[in-house]
Amino acid sequence: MSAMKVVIIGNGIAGFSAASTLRRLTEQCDITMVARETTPLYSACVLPDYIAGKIPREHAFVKTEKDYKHLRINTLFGCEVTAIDPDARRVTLDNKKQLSFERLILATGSGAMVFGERKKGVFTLKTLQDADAIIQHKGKKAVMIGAGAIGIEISIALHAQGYGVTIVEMMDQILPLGLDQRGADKVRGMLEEKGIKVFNGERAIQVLGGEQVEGVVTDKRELECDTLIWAIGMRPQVELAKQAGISIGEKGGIRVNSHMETSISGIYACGDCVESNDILTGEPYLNLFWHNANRQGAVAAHNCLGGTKDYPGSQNILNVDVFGNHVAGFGFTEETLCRFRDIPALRGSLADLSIIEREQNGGYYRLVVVGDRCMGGQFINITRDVGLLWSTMVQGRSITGLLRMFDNEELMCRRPWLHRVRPFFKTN
Amino acid sequence: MKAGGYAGQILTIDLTKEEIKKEPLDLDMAKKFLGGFGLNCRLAWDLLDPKVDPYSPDNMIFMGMGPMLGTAAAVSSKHSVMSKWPSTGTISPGTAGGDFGINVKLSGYDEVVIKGKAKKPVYIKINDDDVVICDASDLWGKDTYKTTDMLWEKHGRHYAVIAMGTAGERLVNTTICLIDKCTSWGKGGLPAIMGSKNLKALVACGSKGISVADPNRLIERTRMIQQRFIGYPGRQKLLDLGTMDGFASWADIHGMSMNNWTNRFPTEEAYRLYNTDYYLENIKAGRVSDPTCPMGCKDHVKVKKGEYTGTEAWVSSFYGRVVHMAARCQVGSYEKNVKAQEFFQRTGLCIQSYTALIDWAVELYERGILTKKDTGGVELKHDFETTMYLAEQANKHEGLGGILSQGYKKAMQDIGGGCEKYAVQVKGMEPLYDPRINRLSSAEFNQVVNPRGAHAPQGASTLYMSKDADPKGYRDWLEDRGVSPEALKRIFPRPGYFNVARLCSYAEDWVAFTNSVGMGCLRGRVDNFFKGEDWSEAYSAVTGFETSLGELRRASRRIYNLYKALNVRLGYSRKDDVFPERWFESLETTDRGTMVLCDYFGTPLSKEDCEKLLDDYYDERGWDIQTGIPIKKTLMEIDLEDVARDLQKRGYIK
Amino acid sequence: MEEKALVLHPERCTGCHACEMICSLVHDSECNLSLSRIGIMKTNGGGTNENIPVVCQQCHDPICADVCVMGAISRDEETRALVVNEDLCVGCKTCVIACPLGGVLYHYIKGCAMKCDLCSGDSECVKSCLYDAIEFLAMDEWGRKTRLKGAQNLGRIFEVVYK
Repeated sequence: MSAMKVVIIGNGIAGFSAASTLRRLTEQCDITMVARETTPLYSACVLPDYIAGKIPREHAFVKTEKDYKHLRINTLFGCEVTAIDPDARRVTLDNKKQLSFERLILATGSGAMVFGERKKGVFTLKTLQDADAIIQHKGKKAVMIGAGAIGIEISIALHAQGYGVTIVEMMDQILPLGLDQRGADKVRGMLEEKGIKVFNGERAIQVLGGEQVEGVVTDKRELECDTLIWAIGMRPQVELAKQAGISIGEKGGIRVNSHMETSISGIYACGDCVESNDILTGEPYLNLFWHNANRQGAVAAHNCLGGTKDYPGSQNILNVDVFGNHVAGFGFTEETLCRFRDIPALRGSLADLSIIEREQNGGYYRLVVVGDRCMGGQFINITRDVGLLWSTMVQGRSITGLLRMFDNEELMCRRPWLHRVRPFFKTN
Repeated sequence: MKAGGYAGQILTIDLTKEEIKKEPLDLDMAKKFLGGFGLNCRLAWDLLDPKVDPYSPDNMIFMGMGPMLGTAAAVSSKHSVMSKWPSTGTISPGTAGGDFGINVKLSGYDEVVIKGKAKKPVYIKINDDDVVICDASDLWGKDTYKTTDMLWEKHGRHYAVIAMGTAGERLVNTTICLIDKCTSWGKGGLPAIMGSKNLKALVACGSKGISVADPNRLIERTRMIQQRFIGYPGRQKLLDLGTMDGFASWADIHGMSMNNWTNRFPTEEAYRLYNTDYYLENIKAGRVSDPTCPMGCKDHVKVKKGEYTGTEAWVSSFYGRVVHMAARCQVGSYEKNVKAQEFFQRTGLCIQSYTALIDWAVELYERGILTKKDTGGVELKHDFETTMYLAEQANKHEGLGGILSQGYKKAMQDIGGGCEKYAVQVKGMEPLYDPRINRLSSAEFNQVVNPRGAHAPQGASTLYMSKDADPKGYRDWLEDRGVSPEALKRIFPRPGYFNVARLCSYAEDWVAFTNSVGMGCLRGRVDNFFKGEDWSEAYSAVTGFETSLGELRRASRRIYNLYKALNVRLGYSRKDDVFPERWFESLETTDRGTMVLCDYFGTPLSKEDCEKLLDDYYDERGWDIQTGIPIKKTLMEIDLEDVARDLQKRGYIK
Repeated sequence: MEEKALVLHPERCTGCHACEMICSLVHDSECNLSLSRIGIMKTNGGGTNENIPVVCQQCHDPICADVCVMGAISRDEETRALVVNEDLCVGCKTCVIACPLGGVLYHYIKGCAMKCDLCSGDSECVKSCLYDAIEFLAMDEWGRKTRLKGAQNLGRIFEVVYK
């Protein structure tokens, strides 16, 4: 039997996970990986640590060239795919060469959104190259547009490098996808304590300066800066897929079924380029995170080879260190849930929404409960047992059922792991 | 110089001034007095005014954690508390396991000294460098279980909690604190002292480490000891029954004294009412162990059927269950036993001490020394109702219960009418072992000479509670623990005999030693798995101070003499080392005939014999035979020159 | 290579901390409950049925390895344990909050994730537990033992109900 030919486009964690899973599953597979970047896999997630000077550049790399050789992955780095021909089962590269495939895995990832001109001193952070550029820039005064997790992490990194930093965020709070107002305000306080200025409910309108950025105008004020960073979100990179006739979803990512297969049979997609079903609601969502990409790549690889692995769904996780404070979250916030009113999974209106919120042992947490299910949690300086709570959320456990069990010693005796979840719900 | 095992700091908390002070631990002092009980003695000698009133703000609580505590050494579980107890007026220790000691060590402290008096109810929180005096107004008035639950709720279950119940708030003397609801601490009235200081509880959680100088050497030694446990043929039985495996010893081979030391609980009834099968089926709900100890001597008990279904308690070994409630109080069933114990534990009443006083009170009532006027119209009997009635009164510090629960010394004064004649106590504390039933071995003898008062089993040696066992075991044990050949000759002068008094001195030293280093346990079923060199190896491995067994034995002798000296300064001497009168009366049993005070081999002992034994004890100790007080030469020999000088200045020694 | 795992029996655990003391001693040369890879969580009085020993179960399909943004958690071929590569780990603690068992912890001195590594195949905690609450079993043997326990329970119920 001849080896199956699989072509993977992209060398992020999704692409690498797919490739290494394929190799783990079978020797009888011809794996070719085409990637725009020239380096082995690195972790985009630790780039802020690199910018801050906490880790050296080499530390950002997760794999070496030897790893690819060891896994017998043919790598075509520094190469772009310009077209996919699904019928002919062929991709065309920018050097005009063509690669045939039996299976294709798209792992084209996402790109950072940006408005306006890319003057000198204007950056986004997505790739190692971006990070190198920011480090070389050596500015003094930075304005950060966007206070999501990435924006916060870069701000802290620049602060570590001696920058004066001002954050401008369109929403009324920072970390709008991970925390509700109260938690966000606490974290904002931590930033302001260190001298990082934060403006909420404000949007950037115009970039000032000639060749070099000199400032930015918001709808409320003018801010001087020699460094401007856009951290306003990532967008799935789907042009190639679109051009090939692959269905794109409402949220802008490639539509896949639970086997990570696209609308065209034999073509799979995984990672940031994909619109996956959220594990809590079952609805398509853009949960663009490392761990989701990692898992999706593995699932795609399994199914590529004829397996039938189901992807359980993607998860939204927040995990940021803010000057020694551990800020974490899972699932939905009260705010984000309010934008999902009609989801069948939530069974009706959000009148059923309740909140459990406590300051406890030097930490803070907030659970968002809809009907009888916990749909999200936010944690500041609480690390212990968060994973257990998260797993009960993912299981979709009934809260009233849990509360009933908490009071029943016989049942609790046989379910010791519930003892660790109990303190989040009960106060006696 | 950094030493392993020692955390390196002494923490002093002044509740009056609301001051927290941390000082480095003097390592030379630590080497001399080892830590734990030994360090408590040293600090009590230096800092505590002998004349202090136990309830005064100037009385201090010394909590000592030995160097082995909180390490991977086998059975490194016990820490020690010392103060001037209000029930007896002696300066003496309490020992406990549980998680509090290790968490204080892990927070970085070898010793905690508490003095002064808070203006309003407080509790102390120890969390690494962060030591805070916290408001306890919502805890005051709550029992031990509730207090502990509330503190766990507030700080997290990973905090160890010492809680005082309602009895201590009312300055009741025969009380104990509970650690994490299950380990008792401070027999003699720690809660009363805490109550007088407005100190309701202590919580601790430590995240620092205890360094070990030679980890591999320690692990090797720990493995050796653990292997002995694992290889023990009776191990499964121990695992299944816990300390209840000793039930036959109490009920049958020896016996539980009853009716205020005038009777012996009939064996057949003991088996009928309190057999182990029933216990395992209907009462035992679980088992708690002290740190790194394989014995798990604290049982979680819960009534599964009948009137008191659902009543639960955590109690140290079965002493509380059977001996005290069953024999002294004669409550009549396991269920009532648990119910009574739960009440004692929640309020903080000391099961060991207070049940003895109840037993005594019933006899006084039977003799007419106490009448219905004293009891509030209630007839006192040996039963559950009387027990609960007097316990309720004790908790409220009211009525007859309130008088009894101040301890023998004060109760004898308050009741008068010749009641002392029937009080079986030494220095104000009740003995546990009846040498007429058990025969006089070292634990029984120690009850007479212990500076604290009769407390069991500070004189435990490996064969305690082993009537008719081959005394060769004693000899082997002493030899293994480093007792000199000359001393052995004095203890075993001829076959078929050993001098229990002389032997006792070495057993006492050993218990003092284990409570100072924080490793080992006086319970025979734990101690029997140890060899003397285990300690010298483990101590050397942990601390990095290469120390021989002989040096450790010397240190233990030093510690015990200091302990004695502390109480000499209070005026105690031979006149207080008294065999209770009742021990010289014959004990008429219903099923074992007549029992009299006799030695290990069954030879009856007269008062003169006992006085001779006391002579031998003081002689072996190197103390003045007339006064029972350490002589200068002895104190100098073990590097207690300053103690000798002080006692000389005060006129206690020449 | 047979798959073995640390099997915990919480109903036997008495909360004596022996496993925690030896684990931290072996891995970090000091005795420290906060540096032990195996942890006892106590509820109520901390007796048997009130202790929850927790240790990494070396999941077949590990979430910790999934979420690790540095790929620092991988399987040791010999022991089959999931081990943390401390050179790669940046201490972000995502694995700590993601593990559904609480089996991955944070080493507050080294600043990286820490978890059970099965002591290179000869687990120290197993040797230290004198209550038989931890066993290192091959999975089929564990299955057999559990089924046996289940059968014994059934037998007891039969006795109670029918006799």
